[in-house]
Amino acid sequence: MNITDRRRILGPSNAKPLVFERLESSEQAAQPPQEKNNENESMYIKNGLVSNANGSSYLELKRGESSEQCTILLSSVYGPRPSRGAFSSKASLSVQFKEVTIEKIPSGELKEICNFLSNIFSAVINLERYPKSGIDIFLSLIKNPITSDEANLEPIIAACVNGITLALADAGIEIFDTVSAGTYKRNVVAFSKNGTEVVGLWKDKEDDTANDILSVIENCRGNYLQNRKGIIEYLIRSKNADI
Amino acid sequence: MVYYAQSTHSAYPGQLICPVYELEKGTDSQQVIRYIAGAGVAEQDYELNGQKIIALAATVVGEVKFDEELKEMVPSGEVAESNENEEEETVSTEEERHFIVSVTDKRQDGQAVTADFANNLPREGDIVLARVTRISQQRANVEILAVENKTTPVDSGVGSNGAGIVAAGGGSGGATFSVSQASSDLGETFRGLISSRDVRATDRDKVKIIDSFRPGDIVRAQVISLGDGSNYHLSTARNDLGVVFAKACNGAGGMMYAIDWKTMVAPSTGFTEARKCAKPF
Amino acid sequence: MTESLELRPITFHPDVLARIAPELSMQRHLSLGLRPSLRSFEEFRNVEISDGGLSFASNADIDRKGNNILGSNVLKCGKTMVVTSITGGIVEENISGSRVDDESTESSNRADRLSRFAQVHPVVEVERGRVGAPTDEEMTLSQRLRDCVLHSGLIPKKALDVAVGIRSTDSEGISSILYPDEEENTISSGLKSRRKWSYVLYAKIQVFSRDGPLFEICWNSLIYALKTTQLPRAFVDERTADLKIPVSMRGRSATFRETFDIICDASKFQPLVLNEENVAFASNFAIIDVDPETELPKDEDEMQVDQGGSVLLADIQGEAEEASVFSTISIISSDAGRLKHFKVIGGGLNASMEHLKKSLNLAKLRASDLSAKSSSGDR
Repeated sequence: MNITDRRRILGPSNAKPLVFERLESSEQAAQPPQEKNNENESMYIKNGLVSNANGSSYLELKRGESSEQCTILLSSVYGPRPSRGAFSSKASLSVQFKEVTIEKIPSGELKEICNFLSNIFSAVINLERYPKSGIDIFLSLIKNPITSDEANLEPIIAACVNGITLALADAGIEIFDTVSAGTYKRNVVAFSKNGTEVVGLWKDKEDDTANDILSVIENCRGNYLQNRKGIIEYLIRSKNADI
Repeated sequence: MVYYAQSTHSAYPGQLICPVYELEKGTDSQQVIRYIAGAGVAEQDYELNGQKIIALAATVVGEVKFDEELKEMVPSGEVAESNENEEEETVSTEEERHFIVSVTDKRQDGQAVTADFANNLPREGDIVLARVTRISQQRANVEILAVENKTTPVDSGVGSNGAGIVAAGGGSGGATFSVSQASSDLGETFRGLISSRDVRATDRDKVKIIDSFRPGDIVRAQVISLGDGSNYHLSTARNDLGVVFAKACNGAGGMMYAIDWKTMVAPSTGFTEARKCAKPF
Repeated sequence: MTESLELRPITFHPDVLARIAPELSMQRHLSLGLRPSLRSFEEFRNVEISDGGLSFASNADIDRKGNNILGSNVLKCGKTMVVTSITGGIVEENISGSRVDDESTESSNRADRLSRFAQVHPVVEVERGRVGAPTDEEMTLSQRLRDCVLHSGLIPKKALDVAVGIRSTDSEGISSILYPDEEENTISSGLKSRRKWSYVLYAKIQVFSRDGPLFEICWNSLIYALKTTQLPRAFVDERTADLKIPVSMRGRSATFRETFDIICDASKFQPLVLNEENVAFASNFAIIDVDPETELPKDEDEMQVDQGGSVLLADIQGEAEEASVFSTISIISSDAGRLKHFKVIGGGLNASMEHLKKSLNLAKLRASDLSAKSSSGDR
């Protein structure tokens, strides 16, 4: 950050960020949600909020009772739109992830998330259908529930997979399956074809379930089926409601 | 159970619709029914009871529709009646029947204009509406604004006799449009170019771009190839193709109307300008 | 048209026409007494606001760790959504020996008026599906917002002064924080005179679904966000306070002064004090000529539009309006009618006195409407 950015208003250079006093209670408070991770999770979906995108979805995930433990993710799909450069008979896909309010995720991790997501969706989108074009997916994390310093990315990644699927469906871009993801402990597994195929697997380094991939997948599948059901129900309902 | 006779139902991406082949057993005969993937449908491999099958699955949210693809020898009068009830009665032949399976959004069905540019990217043969962005001696550069979806085929030979021609634009009801919503200020529209040899069908070598198009004109053109990485190649070498909308004095004056195929007039001033016009009638 | 020749224009579906010839589509709408958005000429879009529950102060019970948002606002205007979050920093101000912190000398100097007001540092991002450097629009928006906040005198500089408390730990290990303004005993008088800190406010403004000019929407969202802003109390630890380390190195002597670590109290905060009479809201207007040539043939029972030639449109929206409007008025006005910002661009069209008056009145009405919203939104 030493290079002066002349395109943005940065404020005084000697300003220091606010440092908050550490509260003892916070360490304990961060722990419980991890245990009952997938229980009484509720999902609110709304498509088509971003009017200048081809498709978009708004996803609000709530864990438990408190409204504070809430993830809000806005995904928007731009495209197919012309891609510059050499002729290509397939569409190219890009995924961008941005934290709108609090910026906590290190940029290296962000890049990894984007790679992971674009790998999944390159396999899912019918790219041959859109020659000479690019499909760009933008994810905006508006609210992130995690208050502990180490970012717990897994629920966010799962939300991203679900959000992108919804946004693609809203954009009317052809996808082979309603892909969704499930989380278990610190793993995210994205499935397609009703849980028979795995299209993506995210594993955190400091996970203790290292040797037991199969049971992780099994556990994620339950969560996946639940998410997928929610997505499909929303898609069908909103389609019939709008006519 | 025959799949094509099922009542329409909603589909979501990844939902299985039907297998690729089906054997329909009648009372005294049987016939093969072939399902072909249309818009919003893709073939996918599935494993069912340890057996690999190819099935058609939806790729967008919408309603499933089966349209029979009719052979050429079928009299044209029956084309309109691809109703499911009618088909049941006429089934008696042993030959293969083809059905195109498509999934379409009901919201956009039957509407003259859709914003579904995504699934209607310009393809070869499509008619598009484009705005001229710059001209040179060899070509006119355009940006594609809208794609006409259902154009009745127009043969230029027939068209020159005035029969069977479609009026340019949506006024006739013969065409529906997919309007690209992308804004042009960020360079997000699809670009095309009209080479001077593709402006008109006759006297190709004597075409002057400056007497055919001006920047800002709206041109109705046909896609002749996907072109290179950045440009579609378009042509206006047909009677119903050319400038459909132009303003006088490079946009400073009022609207102009075509009075013949190469002249437009501004009624407020009476001035004429040279253009390669589309036949409006 | 007196020509014998019949001119047959090619007809297009309205949506197609809006795409290929936005100006014409606009004129056709105007001749019907409507705008492309189907609003009437002087009708504003509805605005919905909430604080979005984003800032740490919006929830008293939230675990505040890691959340450094001081104030926030989510504004929806039509389809456009603006998310504003205010974050802060602390900067140490240089107090030169000659300048004393004396109010009377400062206020007497009229030219120095601006030095009494503080600014925010906004960064506007407009989501439009592109990555890369900020666009021109984003840069000018940020700059304009910054200038307007400063010049409107919205935030008095004093409101951003940090009243630094001191945390002292007694012999039993229980720490307590004393703030100068709370305790009457002037514990930190010695500290205060030497060093001075103030808060710096940053605003991150994220715009979704851009649909027309954004300055006014961003401004309103920023004002709402500033109204919810809470500043945390800050303190220094007694042990680190006023530390001087004299060192002598190779004959030369120097004094290292310990930089204070200012720590923010996560449980105590106070609202940012704004100059209430300077709180103002923005609205924009367009003046457009009705071109008689493009009008459709009139029916007998058609609504009569005033044939003044030009009309005033409130709250510009949509590509068609933006593309065909060259004369705009942008006004920031308080509900009492105090003007904070007034900008007229008369591109090709002279903004008549009548239009200006009308727009000022409308801006005032709009401001009172918007400010009523913010007070009803307060819990």
